[in-house]
Amino acid sequence: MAEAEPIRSGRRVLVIDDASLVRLYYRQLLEDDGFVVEEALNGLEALEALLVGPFDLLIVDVNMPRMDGLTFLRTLRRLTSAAAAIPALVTSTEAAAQDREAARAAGANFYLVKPLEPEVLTLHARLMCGVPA
Amino acid sequence: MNEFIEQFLIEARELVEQGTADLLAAEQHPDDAEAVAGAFRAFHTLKGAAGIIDFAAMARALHAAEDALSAVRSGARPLDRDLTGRCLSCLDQVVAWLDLIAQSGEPPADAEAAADSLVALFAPDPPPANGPDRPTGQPDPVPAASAVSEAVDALLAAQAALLRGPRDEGFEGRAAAALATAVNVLRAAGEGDAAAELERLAQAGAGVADLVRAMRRASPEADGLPAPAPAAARSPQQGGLRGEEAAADSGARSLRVDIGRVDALVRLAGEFTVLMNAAGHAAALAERGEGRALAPLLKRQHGALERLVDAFQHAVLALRVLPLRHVFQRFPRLVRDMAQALDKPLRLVIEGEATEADKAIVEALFEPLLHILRNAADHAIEPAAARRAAGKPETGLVVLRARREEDRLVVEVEDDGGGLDTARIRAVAAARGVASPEALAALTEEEAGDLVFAPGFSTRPDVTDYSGRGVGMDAVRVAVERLGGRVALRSRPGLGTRVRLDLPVSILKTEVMTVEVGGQVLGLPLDVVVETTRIPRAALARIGAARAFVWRGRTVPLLDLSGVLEAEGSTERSSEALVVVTLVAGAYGGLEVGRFGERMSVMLRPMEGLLAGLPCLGTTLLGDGRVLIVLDLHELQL
Repeated sequence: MAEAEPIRSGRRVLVIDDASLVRLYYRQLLEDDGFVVEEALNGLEALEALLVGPFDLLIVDVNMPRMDGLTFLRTLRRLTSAAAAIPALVTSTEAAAQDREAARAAGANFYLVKPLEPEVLTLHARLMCGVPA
Repeated sequence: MNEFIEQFLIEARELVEQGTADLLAAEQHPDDAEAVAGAFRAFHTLKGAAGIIDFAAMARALHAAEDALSAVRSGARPLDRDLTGRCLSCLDQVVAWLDLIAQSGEPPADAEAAADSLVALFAPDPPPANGPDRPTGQPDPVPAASAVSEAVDALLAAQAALLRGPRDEGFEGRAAAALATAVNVLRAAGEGDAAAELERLAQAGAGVADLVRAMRRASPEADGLPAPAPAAARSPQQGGLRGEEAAADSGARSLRVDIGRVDALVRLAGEFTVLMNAAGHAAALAERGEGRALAPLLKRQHGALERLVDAFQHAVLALRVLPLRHVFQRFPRLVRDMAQALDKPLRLVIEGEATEADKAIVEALFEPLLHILRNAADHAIEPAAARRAAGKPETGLVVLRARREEDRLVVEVEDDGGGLDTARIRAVAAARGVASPEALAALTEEEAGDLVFAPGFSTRPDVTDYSGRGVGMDAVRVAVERLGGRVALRSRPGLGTRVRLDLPVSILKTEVMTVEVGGQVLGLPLDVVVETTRIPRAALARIGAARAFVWRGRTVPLLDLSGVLEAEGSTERSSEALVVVTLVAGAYGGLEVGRFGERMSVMLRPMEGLLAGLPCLGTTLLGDGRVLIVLDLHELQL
């Protein structure tokens, strides 16, 4: 992203990750890039958050306590509400093909391997939310 | 130190604790899938955290351990003592790294060698291959910034793949999300027309083939992700509900302050503001020369401030309360190491770890308890063969428990070992001259047991790694007494020993200044000390029986502290008097002392029994074991 984008897209992102450091990191990057960020610590919390507010993008970790990311995605995609169609970006430390495939089967729209370069995260978040990169 | 590093350190230390606890639980209960999963998750999350701060060496080491634990989780290998030990070594190294980061604010640059040896530690039993593309710390395969169009292609390809996925229960949701994503991506990429066309097709209920074609139109050769695997390869259960019941109680492991306690502080802060405004008002009155109105106002404010400071101290003390878990949680690991080093099977049971006490007490308990546990493991618990012979279970039991008894904190360490060998203790005490033979002979069994608290006592001729350097129980006694507590020991021959620490729940540190008077060291509370000064004796004026000197334009009465305390020797030697200027209840005074000492922060024990009437705030133990009496100048008639 050559030109800094001061315009607030106002797109709402829900970051679902049990690691506070990851949430902090994503929040900072995304907020600096004009997104509005909310956080959930696991799949169950994310489902609750979805009942309250609409989101343009979900960023989902895989390995989490209480409800892991893939279970969350499978549950999400079976909902009858509009939330079922929210784009989901999985970020995981696992880079193996089988892990990517498992995420897609669960309903992930894209898969990125952690740790992420800041620009990679914001680029994909923008594209998946329909904000010009 | 930047925010990420700070957050990283907090989180990483919590994860190390959690990982340690789960590893030990899993080692003891191999069927405890939750503990195994918890340990795995701790290593996994630690690895991720290391990646975020760009500490590739740490991520690499953790990755090796995580792989091994992953194999344990899937049942491919057992979690034996050996593997637990290796995982713990890995965490030890992590802690060492964390300490370095805490010092320097950044990951150490020379961590590769340590990481290599850890990776090698896990190498002999490689886990099932996960493919060569697993190492972390490497940049994501997706190209960064400049290659927007590549990202667009990969994203669209992924959506197409989703649409081509199996028509199972979640298909509708997945397809809807894929279409929404593809429309967004096209729009973001400036392909507004393609996006609109895709939306139209979707609303018209077009087939998958048409939809996929519409997506591809924007990016013809996209093939970012592998083609979907056959449906059979997709296991919905894989990585599924496993973690759902694993109720995460990580909250209990971190230090949180009760919100009510914070609210109390916020309220007090508000009251301070009101008082500050009132002081401003008083200043305005003073400026206008309305001195008469000032006195009652200031008096009221002083009263309010006094009450407020008192409430504030209480509120702050409440913030400092910690559960004993804070120290207890470190012991399972240490006891495990002791058991291994001594080659004695040991089981540590912890009770009452939620009991709360002042942070200063809780944190100061670690070393004394460590000494006691080492003693229990090393001296009290018999070797397995002896235990067998005595008809006891081979595994020695050590119980560490805490509870509140009214306003006291009681911490006990109880073992089911052989009890104290009092005959031997008497013999050693005699040989070391701890007491005279007659005195020793007169001791009851219980009193003989207490000899282990005598300075310089140790019954083990051999010095082991774990205890027996002759500082054990004596050091425990000193440490506990310094906290204002007592230590007692009860032993039942052949059945076991119980060490009981009886401690205050809260503690206030007092800043004191020490002075020497007639050869004795005394403490003065620092909050009444204005300054220390030297006054030439020629400048001391006699006013009747009393003396005074002029200090900053004031006549200040001088008191010879040695006279007041009827201490030996007079201070009438040098040409200058050493004077501590004090301010007590609004009045200045001077105390002549023999020597100025040092300033220190001490925990005061209240005066008890016969001494309760003395004009003293309390006593504290000095580093060399002497008792320091801190004077209460309000009580001292100056």
